Amino acid sequence: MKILSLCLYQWRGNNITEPKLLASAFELSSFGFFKRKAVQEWCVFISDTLVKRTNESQRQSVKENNYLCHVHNRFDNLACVAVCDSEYTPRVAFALLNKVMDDFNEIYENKLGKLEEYPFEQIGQLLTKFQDPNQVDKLSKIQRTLDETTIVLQDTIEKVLERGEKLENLVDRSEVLSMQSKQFYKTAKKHNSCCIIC
Amino acid sequence: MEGERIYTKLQQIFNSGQKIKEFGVIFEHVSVNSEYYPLFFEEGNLGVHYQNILPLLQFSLCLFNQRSTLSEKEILILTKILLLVNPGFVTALNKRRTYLYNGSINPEKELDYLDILLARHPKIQELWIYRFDILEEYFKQNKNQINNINNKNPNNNNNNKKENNNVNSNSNSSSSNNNKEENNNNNNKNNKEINERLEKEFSICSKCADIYPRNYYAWTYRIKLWKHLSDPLSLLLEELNVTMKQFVKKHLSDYSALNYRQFLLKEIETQLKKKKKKKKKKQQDEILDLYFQELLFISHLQTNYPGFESTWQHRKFVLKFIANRQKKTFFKMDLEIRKEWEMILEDQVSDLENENLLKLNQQIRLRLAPIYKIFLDEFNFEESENEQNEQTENSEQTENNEQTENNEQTKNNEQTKNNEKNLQLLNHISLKNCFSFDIEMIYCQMVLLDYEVSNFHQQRSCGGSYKIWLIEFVRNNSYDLNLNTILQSSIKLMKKYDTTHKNLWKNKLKLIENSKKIKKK
Repeated sequence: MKILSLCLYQWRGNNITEPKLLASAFELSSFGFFKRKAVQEWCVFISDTLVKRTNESQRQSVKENNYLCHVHNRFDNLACVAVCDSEYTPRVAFALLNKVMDDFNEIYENKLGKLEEYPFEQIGQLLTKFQDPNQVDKLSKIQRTLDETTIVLQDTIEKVLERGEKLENLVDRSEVLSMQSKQFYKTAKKHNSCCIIC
Repeated sequence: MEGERIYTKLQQIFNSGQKIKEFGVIFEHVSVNSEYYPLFFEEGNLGVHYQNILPLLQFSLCLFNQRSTLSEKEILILTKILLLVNPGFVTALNKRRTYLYNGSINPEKELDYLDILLARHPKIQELWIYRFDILEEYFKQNKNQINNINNKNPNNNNNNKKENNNVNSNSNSSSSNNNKEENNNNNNKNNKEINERLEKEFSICSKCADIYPRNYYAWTYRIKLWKHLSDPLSLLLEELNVTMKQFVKKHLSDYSALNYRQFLLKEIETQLKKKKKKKKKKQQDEILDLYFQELLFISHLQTNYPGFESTWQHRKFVLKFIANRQKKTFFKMDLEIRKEWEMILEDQVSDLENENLLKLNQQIRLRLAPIYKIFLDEFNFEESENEQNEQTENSEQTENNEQTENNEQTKNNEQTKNNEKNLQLLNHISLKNCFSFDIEMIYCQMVLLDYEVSNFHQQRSCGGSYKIWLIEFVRNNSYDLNLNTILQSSIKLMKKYDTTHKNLWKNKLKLIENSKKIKKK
């Protein structure tokens, strides 16, 4: 029951073509030394593609191997992605995404697009706080009738991509992934093992 | 000859005695100027480029085939390097095993070496078996060392006893005491070492279970470790109450962890029976207490995280034990409770809208909270809410700021008093006194209601089979004929209400009716 990564983006508005990463936090201590960098890059890559592929004011959950990625694309040009494992309660994950975006707005309200950098340290604190969903979940439990019906569930990341798009092409074209991760993806595919995180 | 070059570099690193924490495959080339080119070695992390692995493997296999010509030292390093790349190579493992029993391999260092292998491949059976052999050898060697030291002292003791008659007895007894102290110190050191080593082993098991869930080999190895402890009771309790609880909370779908808890409970029982100090009844009470605490723990998990089948399976085990020990109280019918929740179900059966489900939820929770000690915070809020409303009315009438501040302070004080009262009530009603299968049925109903209301990603019939199992279990174990008729009526009620498990109920009813016919015949 863990969250691997939490990424906050600016998307749509002010002539932005690619989602702009505003802040991110990672919790990768369960991976070995050599895999951590690749896993981190993959989390960012998945977050990027998911943000692009969700519509405005939409929430999505995408399953990939043993992990569930939760995306929330909000109306105020902010989008947030959390990569969690399949045990983590999705309701709490979406509460976390909301909280991250609300906290960011408190500091940088109406300043999106005007500043160059947006230092946002609280994202790391929130990530560690929410690793244990039980402690954080008390209030959201009582408000049980949330609008959960608006959350869409996708089985694999390939369903999120547009027609004719292949994950391999996206990987090759991506600037976020280093040569190492791309090679890792190719060799892993050859050996028929799961390409991404394990 | 790339393979040979990499082989010699690895040999260098191993011979230099530096500690290796991890081994991995890298995809970027190391710069030519670095010390260990073409290997990557920083802060104990050893990496080999993926294009170099195949030549390395070919070269070492070639060498391995010529092992009859090689010296012992060479074979040791060869097998070490071979196993790094291919830990499943059993011939090399067995070769190392022969050297272990020979005495050429230090068990402690070998255990550290195995840590590296297991971190990458936590589910290779032969590695775990080998690890157990190394551990046994390690403890043997430890014992021999201490026996050698202790053997010197008893010889002195014997000599002292002979001289006792002639020499001052005080000095002799003090020297014999010293020897005893030394022996004790050595034993304590031994115990400390054993405990330290076992702690490391436990942490490796948890790490491997973390990497690969439901890791059978890691958990069975963990169970075997307990044989090495002489007085494990306090450690067992700590493991049960502290470490395993944390682990289970983080890995709810890992049924092997819950199975390990079952083993711990059984083991504590056998250890308690060995200690014949207390009377039988007290022992049994202690053991029952443990199982009730387990039930509370698992209920807490289930209400917070509905949707995990493993917790329900574990609940079956705990319930069977409790029901068999407390037959009279468990199989009795609590008519008040039964009437209450049947009425609730009948009222709400027709309206399955969300609002009514929530109301039903709250009524059932009120009944269950003090018994299973769940929803503690919710009910503190509920009871103090009424008092808060009264006080806000009072504060609105006064206009002075200071007085409102005072009212807020009195609010907080009264809230804490309320919380204390509630806690006292909760402690007064214990699960033991009122636990019956009726309560268990309501509990199931409530948790599964929760799960259906917030049915999200887990689309399994989680816990539904538990309800059915419970009814069968009660039916098979009680001798009260009235129970059967009332059980049938409750099954029918739940069939109406429980739309997701309709088919399950239909089939079960048929089976129950058929079994009745067979019995009559």
